[in-house]
Amino acid sequence: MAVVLLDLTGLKCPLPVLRTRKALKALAPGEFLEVRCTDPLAAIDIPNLIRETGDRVETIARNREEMAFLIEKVAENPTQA
Amino acid sequence: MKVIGFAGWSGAGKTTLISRLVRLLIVQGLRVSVIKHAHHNFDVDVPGKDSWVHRQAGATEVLVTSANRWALMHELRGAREPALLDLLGKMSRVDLVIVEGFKSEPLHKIEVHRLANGKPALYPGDCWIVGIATDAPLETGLPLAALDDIEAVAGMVRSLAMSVDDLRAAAKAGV
Repeated sequence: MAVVLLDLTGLKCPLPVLRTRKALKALAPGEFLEVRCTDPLAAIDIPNLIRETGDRVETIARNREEMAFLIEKVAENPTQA
Repeated sequence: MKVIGFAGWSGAGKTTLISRLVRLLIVQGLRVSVIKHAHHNFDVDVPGKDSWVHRQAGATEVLVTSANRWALMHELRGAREPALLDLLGKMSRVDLVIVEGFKSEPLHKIEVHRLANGKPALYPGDCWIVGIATDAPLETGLPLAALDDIEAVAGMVRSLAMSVDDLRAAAKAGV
């Protein structure tokens, strides 16, 4: 399974969402994106983004400083530009 | 300085909720300002007043002032409407700016939703809605507050407001 890695550690919201949305657009359905970030607000924002795009959060891993979202690209087209 | 948005259909009760919220947040010790996006025909001026006459004459800006307040009116005269971040830059620095009516900004928003209004909720189509004030039993993973529970809404606002500096950094990065 091919996973595209997106390191967004150190970035503050709204950047993690904007970068993740852009990265997802470049993927084909069935491909995976792993997003790493450190802004606590991303714990809210990334799942909300995926709810809007219609893709799927496969797993969420967290430790004290960092969280990682494994996202499966599902939607053929993003619902919003 | 932090900022949070409010979204909702007309008739949901945004203005009432925001006005009660402003009162409570000030009691809690915050300095609060509001930016409201209005219909393009809005006017704070009164036809016939001196300020209105000067504006009609073509003044770029008219500033009216007294011992109690001042108001600056800037006529766009066809120029593009400033973006939210530009408008925030024109405001005095406070702890929190509440923003109403900017739909497409990457800004955390609280949706105001009322069952009797008969309108669909906005949150399914807007990932920036991070909390809902509603009188409906919505099934969502988002935090919910009762429409009249201003303390709960204030709690959401305090935990979810975004830093204006971070918004500016994102705009500058131009994703």
